[in-house]
Amino acid sequence: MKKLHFIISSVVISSILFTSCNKDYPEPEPRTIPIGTVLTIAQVRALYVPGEIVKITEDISVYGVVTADETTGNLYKEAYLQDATGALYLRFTSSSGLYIGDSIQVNIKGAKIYKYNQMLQVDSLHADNSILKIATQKFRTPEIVTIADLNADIEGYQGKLIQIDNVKFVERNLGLTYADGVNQEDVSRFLEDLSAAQIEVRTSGYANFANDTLPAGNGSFIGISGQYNAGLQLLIRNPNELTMNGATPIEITKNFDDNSLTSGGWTTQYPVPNNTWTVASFTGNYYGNITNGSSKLVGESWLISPSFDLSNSSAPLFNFKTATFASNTALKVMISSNYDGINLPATATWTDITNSFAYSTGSWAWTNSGNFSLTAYLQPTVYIAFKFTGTASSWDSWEVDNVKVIK
Amino acid sequence: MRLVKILSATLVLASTSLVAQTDTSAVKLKNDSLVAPTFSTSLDVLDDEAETQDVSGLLQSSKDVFSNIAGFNFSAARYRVRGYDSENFNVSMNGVTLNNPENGRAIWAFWGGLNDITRYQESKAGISASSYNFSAIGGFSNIEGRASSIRKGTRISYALGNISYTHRVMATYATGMMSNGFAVAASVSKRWSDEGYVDGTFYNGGSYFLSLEKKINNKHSLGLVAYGAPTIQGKSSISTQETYDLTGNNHYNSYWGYQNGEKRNSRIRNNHEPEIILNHYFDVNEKTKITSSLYYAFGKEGNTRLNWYSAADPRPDYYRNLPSYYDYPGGEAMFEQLTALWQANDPATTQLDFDQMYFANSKNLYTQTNVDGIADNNVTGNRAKFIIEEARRDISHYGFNTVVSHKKNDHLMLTGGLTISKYKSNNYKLMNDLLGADFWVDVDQFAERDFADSSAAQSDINTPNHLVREGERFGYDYDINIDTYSGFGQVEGTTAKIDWFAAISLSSTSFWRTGNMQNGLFKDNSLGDSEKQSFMNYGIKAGAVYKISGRHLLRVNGAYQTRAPFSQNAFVSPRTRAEVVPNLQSEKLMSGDFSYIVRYPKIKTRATVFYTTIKDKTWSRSFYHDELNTYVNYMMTGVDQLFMGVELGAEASITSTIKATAAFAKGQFLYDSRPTATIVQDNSTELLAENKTIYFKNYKIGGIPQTAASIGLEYRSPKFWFVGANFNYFADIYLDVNPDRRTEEALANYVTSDPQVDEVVDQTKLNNDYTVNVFAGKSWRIKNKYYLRLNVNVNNVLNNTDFETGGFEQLRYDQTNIDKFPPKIGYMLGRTYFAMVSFSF
Repeated sequence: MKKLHFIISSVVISSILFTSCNKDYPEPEPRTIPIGTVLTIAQVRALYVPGEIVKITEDISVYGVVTADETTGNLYKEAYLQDATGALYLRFTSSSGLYIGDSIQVNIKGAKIYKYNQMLQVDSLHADNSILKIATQKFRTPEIVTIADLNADIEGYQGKLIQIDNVKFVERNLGLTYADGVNQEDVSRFLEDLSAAQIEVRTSGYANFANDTLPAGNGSFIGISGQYNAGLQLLIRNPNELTMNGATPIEITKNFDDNSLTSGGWTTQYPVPNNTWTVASFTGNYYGNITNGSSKLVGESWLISPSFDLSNSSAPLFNFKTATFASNTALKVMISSNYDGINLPATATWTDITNSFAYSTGSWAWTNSGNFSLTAYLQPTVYIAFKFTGTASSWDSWEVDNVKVIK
Repeated sequence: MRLVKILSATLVLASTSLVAQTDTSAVKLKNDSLVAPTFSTSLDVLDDEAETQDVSGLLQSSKDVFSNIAGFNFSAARYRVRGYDSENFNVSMNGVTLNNPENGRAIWAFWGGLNDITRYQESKAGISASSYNFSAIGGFSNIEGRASSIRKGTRISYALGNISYTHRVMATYATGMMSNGFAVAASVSKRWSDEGYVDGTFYNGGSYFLSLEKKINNKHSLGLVAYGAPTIQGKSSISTQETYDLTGNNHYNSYWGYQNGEKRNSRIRNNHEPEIILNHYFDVNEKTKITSSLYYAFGKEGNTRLNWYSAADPRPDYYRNLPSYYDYPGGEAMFEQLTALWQANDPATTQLDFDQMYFANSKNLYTQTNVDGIADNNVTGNRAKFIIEEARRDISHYGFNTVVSHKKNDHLMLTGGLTISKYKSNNYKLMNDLLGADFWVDVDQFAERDFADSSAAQSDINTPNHLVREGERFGYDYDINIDTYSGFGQVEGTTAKIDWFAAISLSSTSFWRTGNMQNGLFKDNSLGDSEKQSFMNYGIKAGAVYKISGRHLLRVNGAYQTRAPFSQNAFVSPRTRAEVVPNLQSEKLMSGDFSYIVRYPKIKTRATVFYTTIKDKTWSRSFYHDELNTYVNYMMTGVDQLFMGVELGAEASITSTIKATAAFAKGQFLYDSRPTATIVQDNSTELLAENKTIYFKNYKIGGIPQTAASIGLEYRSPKFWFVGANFNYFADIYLDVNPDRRTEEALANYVTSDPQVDEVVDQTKLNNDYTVNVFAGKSWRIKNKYYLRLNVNVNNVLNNTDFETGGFEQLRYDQTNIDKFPPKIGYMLGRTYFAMVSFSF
């Protein structure tokens, strides 16, 4: 029995001794990313030499906040960085591991700075060796711009996080997807603002929202502004940021194509009779026409819009186009929020907004007036009127067409 | 002379049956192919098999002349007897089957280091009667662990080797049946090395075995056996020829890298599956015996590997990290630079870089919002880019079996048995090492990228955005449950001219999955118990030996059986969901062999022809698909295999001291059907393909030599020393084929005359090669009481490191450029030795 105990305890003891344990490996010494010369983003952009690939051979650190990442798949091995002086497009040799809101140090030693299709980039960054994350969740607020602003300074906006209000995808894009996720091909779609200015939105076929349908509404777009050759390209970070679900603005257009002066509720008033508004046409295009004729009749003739309810609008607009041969007397554009729609114009208060527009300067050349913001008139009954005053000193004629109010 | 005639007749017979057939396909596919399916669910399993399940080694101790030679000399070349997988050999201890119910494999490593015990075994090759169970078509081995059966005495040994471990110490002690009715046997061993033959591998294994027996009275004895072999081992990779050529090392191992100047292996196997068996031996009377066992096996099987998130693939032999990736106009600079680094064996290029992974993890600040789904529960810390995770399989297996044998008379023996087996494995991932980071976020990065809905990527939607720390479970967690009830009956008869046996079996198998996590992509079929898959199976076998004379025997055996599909192949993606392969059905095995055996005192030979078909196998594998950025599961049903061939073994005593041996095996191991493939992604419900026909017929089963031969000479001195050598020749080794390349789709862009057709479709045949093994030994008897023995084996004496022993075509391929994902090839180790000195008394 003693023997038995001895054997059993030997086996138990040896098995405990022999039971292997995991090898331990000491952790490597901590390493840091050198700082070297600190430059702002603007200064880094200034390192670019036109037509050359500038290879950075010394420690140069630039600090900023990540404004776009690879989470949605619209970027691949790329990120955008921004500080107070500008923005940078960063390209990595592998997935960057960066997230929007990361406040980082980038040591650009070993990277290359050059332009590709006019877009300045810092290329060949190593995700692990070039980047130190200092803080997270430092979200940058996008800069609110218009398409016109971007177009005015394409290069200056390169890589910046922007927001454009009151835009929608153009009609021909509606119902389509952001990109071709099936064949994983990139696709361009177009945004349009209320002045009909358009801008390209480019989305990768690998984005996880590539197959989602474009929003059909109107609202704010948030993304990164980029350049592709001479043109602008916007890049979506995440479609959840697009609040383009507002009602499409209602356009009320008077184009006279029905050969009617008063259809749609338009009226005329003649405080001093003689010259009447008519509908005329030239090569198939109808328009509103007023003249005091070769006999230079004296008169005051109003063409008054129907009442517009702008009380629920956010940024209503008004525009039209005019043509004239060579007018000496200006056509006046008037606006009122207390006119009753029936009586003579003098019974109400009218504001003269004539000088807010561009007009035809002669030769019957049609001229767009440009947009007039009606945000000062968010009232339930707003009337707009064209007022023509005939004088005995000159023979004047005005043609008006495509009068548009965008609620 | 008569012997020679019979042998040659057998050979002719065998070779005529080996004429290759042709699959008259709609698509003209090339097909003269043959052997070695490794029905692994992952390629990982494949490359480890040689180390884990060298079943042919078990047959070394068999008395069969062919098996003996094959076991000793063929295993280094991954030879498998008759081309069979491990599931076709039954391995048991004290009658308790040790094959794993999930995949049918017997994993040698679980009782490694217990050689002093495992030498006591009964082994038979091929279809035969077994007094333990219905056995298997490939044969069986039963390890005798009963304390009173283990030879009395003490044995202490030390061994020195250069394969996986350098040192082994072992001590074994057995009392035999003592006068107090007790018998005790115990064995312990330790095996270790800092680095094995292959760079970056290490070994640390302990083993213990304890067997107690108490004779209660003349009829009853009780036995208790407990054993285990905790083993930790650094693994070696199998890679592409490019990496071998560049490094000048056919045993290049991509799994390790430096950490702080020390070699660290990323793939570590950590096993410990102990088993306890309680036996009851009941001698009812002189003629009837009942042996019953209660058993319980438990423990773990862990395999570590690297994982990474939002980072470049760190594996040095990933195809994009190799020079060949830059082999295009414009890539010359990178090609040359990488080639130079590889050829210089620059460890930062050819191996993993743990220092760099730590560095990347040390500064990857991240804020995870809504941790565990709790609003505004935000945690900021270093998110791991690289980790070492451990895939675990923890088993719990218990059961009961009983075998009754009744010797009716000298001519008739009846045996019958019943077995109940309840098996459960818990499969999950464990965070092994965060490599310096603070946490890992438990999301599927592939689903995260593909689905805008962030819940889709969650491993467990009940704790979304979970931060995983070291020692925690993550990723997936599910159980596989397998219940088996089986019985067998056997009759054995002996007459003056004929010995015969016949046996039948019946079994019922049911298995199901229990999900312990609710996966975000498969919310409805990932959690809880799945439907049970149940199968009723049966088997019959019979055999006879006709004794022409006492010296000349003819033996014939036949078997037919059905076998439930293995659960390991049944689920399309058990990690994420409960779905099973469409059309799951039982395999049908049919096997027959015919042997001619000669037994003279000075010459022993056996010649056998065999023919086996296994029909309706289910085949499944997973691989990472770069282009789809996900794991893809490739499954085939209706895979038929054909194994036929001839085995010859001969042993002759030329003089009283010189013995010559010879063994020859030639087989045709083929795929024999056009299976149907289903391809799914791990993280998508979308089917990549369905009902895809694979033109697999007549492709050879790869990775094993279909032809092997050995001749040997041995000198045994009357002065207690011996020396011997074997010359071994291997031929007809093929690469395992990628089914997807044998489809109409793969050839869709070609016409038959295009040279690419052959490239896509042809099976690669590896070079025939040979090895020379030598062995020697001497023993001393001291004071009539102590024995000192010295044995030395040197394998591959000529240090042939160019012997391609097998490999496989990658499942991923590029139709337009077959060389883009070249096959992975394994080489035989060069000169290896194993020397042992033992002392026994």
